[in-house]
Amino acid sequence: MSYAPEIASQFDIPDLEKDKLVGEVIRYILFKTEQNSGCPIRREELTQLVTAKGYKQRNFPSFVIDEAKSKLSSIFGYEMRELQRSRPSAAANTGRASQSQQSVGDAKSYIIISKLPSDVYGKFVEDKSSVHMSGLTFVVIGIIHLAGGKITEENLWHHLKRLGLHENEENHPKFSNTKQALETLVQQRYLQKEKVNGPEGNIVHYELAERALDAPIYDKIKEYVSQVKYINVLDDFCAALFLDRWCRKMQRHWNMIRYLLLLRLYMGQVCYLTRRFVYKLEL
Amino acid sequence: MRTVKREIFNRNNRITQSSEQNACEARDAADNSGAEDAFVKRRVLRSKYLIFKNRICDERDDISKVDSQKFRTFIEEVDSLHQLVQKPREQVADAEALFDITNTLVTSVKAYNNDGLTPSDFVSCLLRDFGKEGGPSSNRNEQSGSIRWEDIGQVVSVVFSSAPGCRTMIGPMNTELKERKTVVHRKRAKPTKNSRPEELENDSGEKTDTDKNMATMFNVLRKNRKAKLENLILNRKSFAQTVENLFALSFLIKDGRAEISVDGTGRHLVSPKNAPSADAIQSGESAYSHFIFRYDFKDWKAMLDSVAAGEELMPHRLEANEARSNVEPDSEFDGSQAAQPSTPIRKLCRNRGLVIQEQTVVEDSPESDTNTTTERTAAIRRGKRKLR
Repeated sequence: MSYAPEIASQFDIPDLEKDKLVGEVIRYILFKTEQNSGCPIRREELTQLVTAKGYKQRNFPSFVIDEAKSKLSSIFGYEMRELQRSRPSAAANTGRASQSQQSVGDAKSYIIISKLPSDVYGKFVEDKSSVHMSGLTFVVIGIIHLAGGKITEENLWHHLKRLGLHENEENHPKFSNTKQALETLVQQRYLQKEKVNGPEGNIVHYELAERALDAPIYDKIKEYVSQVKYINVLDDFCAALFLDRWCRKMQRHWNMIRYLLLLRLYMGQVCYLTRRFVYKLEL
Repeated sequence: MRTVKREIFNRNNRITQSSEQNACEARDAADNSGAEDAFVKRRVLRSKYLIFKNRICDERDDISKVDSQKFRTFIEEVDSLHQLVQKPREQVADAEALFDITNTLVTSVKAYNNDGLTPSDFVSCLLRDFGKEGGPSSNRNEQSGSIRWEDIGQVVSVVFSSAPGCRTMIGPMNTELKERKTVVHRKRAKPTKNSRPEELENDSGEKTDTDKNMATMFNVLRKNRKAKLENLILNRKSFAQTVENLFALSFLIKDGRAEISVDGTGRHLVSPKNAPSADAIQSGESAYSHFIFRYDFKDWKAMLDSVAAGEELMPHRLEANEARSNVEPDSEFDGSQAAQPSTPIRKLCRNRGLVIQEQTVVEDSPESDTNTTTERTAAIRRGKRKLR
């Protein structure tokens, strides 16, 4: 194996040892992915593999990880994607940005993604025994995405209940413990939980985590969600207009309701016009 | 209630009631019943607001729908309830209801960022496209349906493209089989041998020091029918022996063989007496009573001044070393008790094992000016006999 000479030369380590270290990192990633059921692997663990052998050179662990990344891509067809751990939105808004920025540099993790074309992947690689989890992941991410990226636990289970998933169910034919299945998504860093202290007690919020917000995955999810056709055919504009006229009669909280309704009216107009344009194109 | 009281008051005072007073009373009665009605109405209004809030929670999806009339219905209903609000509690309920409606609307407005698709619409479409037909729904309510999760997963699996890892041989490759250590059983030695406590022979002939002191003191009391307390117990040479004398006196008094009385001048006098009979004890005529006799070294020093030299009644008890060193016994004391055998003290030392201390601890008494430190140490060592 040959390394880039200008990079490899800065480390006074034989190629054979570098090969061995790269191989150990690759092996660790492959086994850990299976062992963790797809949970991201922390960068610290990979760095530990190198430093534990006694290699104290700076940037050497990064070099080994980069080499492992290229090897996984060329040999296995796996993309080793780096994820930056995201903080809950409430914590970010409380002014602890500096602390979170300090810890962000250390909170890197890696996942491996197949680079095969979708048809080949679906035909030969896809694991049929765990495909239902992919469905659940997509549905949950879609619901939270459409709810604005953040949703209360109660609201989420309200929607999942319509799909046959109950919060306290432990004998689901596909997921067994449904709550545990949702917790798995949190561990896989598709979602993150956040407990917010409110006047009525603690409220748990779910929001999208770094793995769901990763650009390629997030764009695909948005694309698939938008492909879901809905059956509403009534005119948003007319309905919003009717509401706007009715609300002129109200005496209380006029400004707030009016603002909200105007906003709704605006969005309804946009949707209506867009749909009309699309219908015209299709015709 | 107020009306009834007033009637009683009126009856008692025999006040004639005019028509105006009758009207006033009727008005009060009406007011009271009106207050109760208002209270009930307020409660009903609050319960209506509670029902309304529950409906908002349950039908929030319908409220935010574009084609739904639910929003209009809800607003009309809350407006009608608002007309009945008069008190702060109901005002709070009204504001909370309006807040819930607004919250629902804000949520739906946020959803319009996604081309107007709300989570409810998304779920409805999933149920429409992937819902199970004729699926098992007997154990579920009508609203919840089940969908084909595998079909959804197959459609969206390329979104995640999760890579399968290795499922074999989890663990390091260079592990060597560790040979199990052969277990070596150590011979267990019993920590201690079986031992039984020593059975003491019931030797009635041997008296303890206290018994001997009691006998000596009783003999002294028999000779001196009435003796001063301080003369009886004081030992000018030894504070410890003074305490032993007091100890012996306490036993005599406990047995009823001596009594302490106080004369007119306030002096304490000790005199012998016969022990009470069994009948007297049984009848309760003779009973125990306690008092605390506080006596320390300072008291002993003071007693030395109050008692003239030579007036001590109890003989000085010679220690073993004193018995050896003194050739002639002290003639002042009758029945010299030189070299009295002391009660051996057995103690288990960590370093020396079981040791019998044959000499008393009198040697440590402060008044022993004749004994030097070295002699005292040597005496202590001699007194301790090691058994094992």
